[in-house]
Amino acid sequence: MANGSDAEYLAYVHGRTTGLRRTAYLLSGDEHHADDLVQETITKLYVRWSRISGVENLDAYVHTMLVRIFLDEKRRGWWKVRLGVPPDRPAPVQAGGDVEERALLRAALSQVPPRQQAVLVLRFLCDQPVADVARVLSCSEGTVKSQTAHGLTALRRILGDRIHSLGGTR
Amino acid sequence: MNKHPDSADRDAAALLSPLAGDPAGPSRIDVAGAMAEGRRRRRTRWWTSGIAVVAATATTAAGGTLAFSALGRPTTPPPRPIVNASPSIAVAAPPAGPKDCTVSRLPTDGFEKALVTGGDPSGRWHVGRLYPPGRAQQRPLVLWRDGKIVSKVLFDGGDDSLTDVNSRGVAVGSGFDPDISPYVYSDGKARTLAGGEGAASAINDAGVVVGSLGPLYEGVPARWPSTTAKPQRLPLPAGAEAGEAGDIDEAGNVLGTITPKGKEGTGYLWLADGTTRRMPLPEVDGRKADMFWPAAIRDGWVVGRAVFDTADSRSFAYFRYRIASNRYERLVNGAGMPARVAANGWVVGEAERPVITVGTRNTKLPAYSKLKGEHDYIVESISDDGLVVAGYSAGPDTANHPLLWRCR
Repeated sequence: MANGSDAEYLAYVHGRTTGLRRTAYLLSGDEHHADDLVQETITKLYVRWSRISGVENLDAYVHTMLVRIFLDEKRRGWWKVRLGVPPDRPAPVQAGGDVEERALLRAALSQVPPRQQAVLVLRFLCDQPVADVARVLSCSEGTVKSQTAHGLTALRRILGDRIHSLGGTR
Repeated sequence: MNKHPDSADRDAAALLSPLAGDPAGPSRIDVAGAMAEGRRRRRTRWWTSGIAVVAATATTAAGGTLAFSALGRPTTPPPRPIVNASPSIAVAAPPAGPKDCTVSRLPTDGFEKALVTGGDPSGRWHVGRLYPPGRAQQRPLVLWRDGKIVSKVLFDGGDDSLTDVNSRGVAVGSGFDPDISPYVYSDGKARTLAGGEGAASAINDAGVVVGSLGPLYEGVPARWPSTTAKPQRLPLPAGAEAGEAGDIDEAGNVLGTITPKGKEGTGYLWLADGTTRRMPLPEVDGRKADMFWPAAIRDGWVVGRAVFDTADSRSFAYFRYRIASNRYERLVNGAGMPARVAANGWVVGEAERPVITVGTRNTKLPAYSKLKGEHDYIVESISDDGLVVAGYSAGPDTANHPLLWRCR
């Protein structure tokens, strides 16, 4: 029963799903979680479609929604300051190989404050310029730069000596 | 594509590069489902119509047998005096502590996955969230009283959550559409709190709500004197650009964090007498912590963890703090990461299983026997007598079970 507006929505969403999934996957590190994030994003988009379909930069708007949904899920964890591994439990044993390398890095990244996680992922994995990240996070370019610096510092701290096991990086 | 010109950026990109890539599996995105759900949300915008509030069972929120003082505060045992502060909690006499603890799963109306997200000081009320199977369905929020569901609530907005409930059954939480908005749920009705964009973190028995105003992560700490009042900004010290009030006790002491420009947050207190206090930084082995991350406040007790950073590592030490004495006590080994504190000073922490720490004695709460494999337990509340703890399990299969522990 698509009217014009629904047809536009369908066309828009079908054309963007791959990109949204990729961003969500890079943010969350988990395929299922990524799909959940995208599902919620396109649901919210539909609720607001009649009001926002004419906005100047819809892609940026939708990516902003996605990042905010991701940050929201992190927020509750932030107040409780959860870590992935309860402190009284030994940290996972490291092993060689790409899978372990990814897991190690992902676990470390998940301990960085959420906003800094988002900045690092958007800048260095999604290759977004500082100005775009600033717009997505509704902050200044200076804040993106400082959050980048703090996020990298935190990530390196958390990795500690294990950073040397990540091939060719410092 | 943009190139990052300086070497620091190149290093960062190289460091993170193992995480690059696309999801390997097929998409499970359900566009038709999103549209159906979107239509339903359009119909049921709860803050304007209120019609989406569904009560599973009629309930009188203020019912029950609790006696309230003028402050609306249930009677609780007095805190135990501390004789010796460091390195572990020492008390005047060895308290009995909890015993004969049992665990049960809170009812979920058939939903397999559900969370407990908060509890009240009496141990009677708990709030949580149910996860319907499949996607594209809203997640009902739930109130339990005495271990039974009394209300299920459907809100519009995204990713709604109830964060706290008081002994009168008044709950607060936040939702997104797309900005974050604070709300209160009471007597079967939900509505937004005044003040616009913001989040509600906690409510005490007097009905005072605390949280933040403004965008997520960049807001300022706030206090609503009642659930119908306009919010008041809590003052930030010089140099702090953001903050959040996370918890409040019955005397009205507010616990939160302040975020100095360009740094991570650290603990801060807005006390009931009108004074403010940056939480001191405890020392371990002669080294002062870089930050203190608070978790909860109750009757003048605060629990949380001290953060110690070096050039390439971060470590934590767990503490209980007393407002009156301005002193920290390091929690004994095995206490886990402190999550909540009871009015009697008992601390519940997260380790392989939840742990109640009384003085130097740790009591591990029982595992939920129906779980297979290794699970974590996330703790969300402890009653004022320290005998009722609520939280949920988190396992590798992404299932969650809402759990209630009772001790004698």
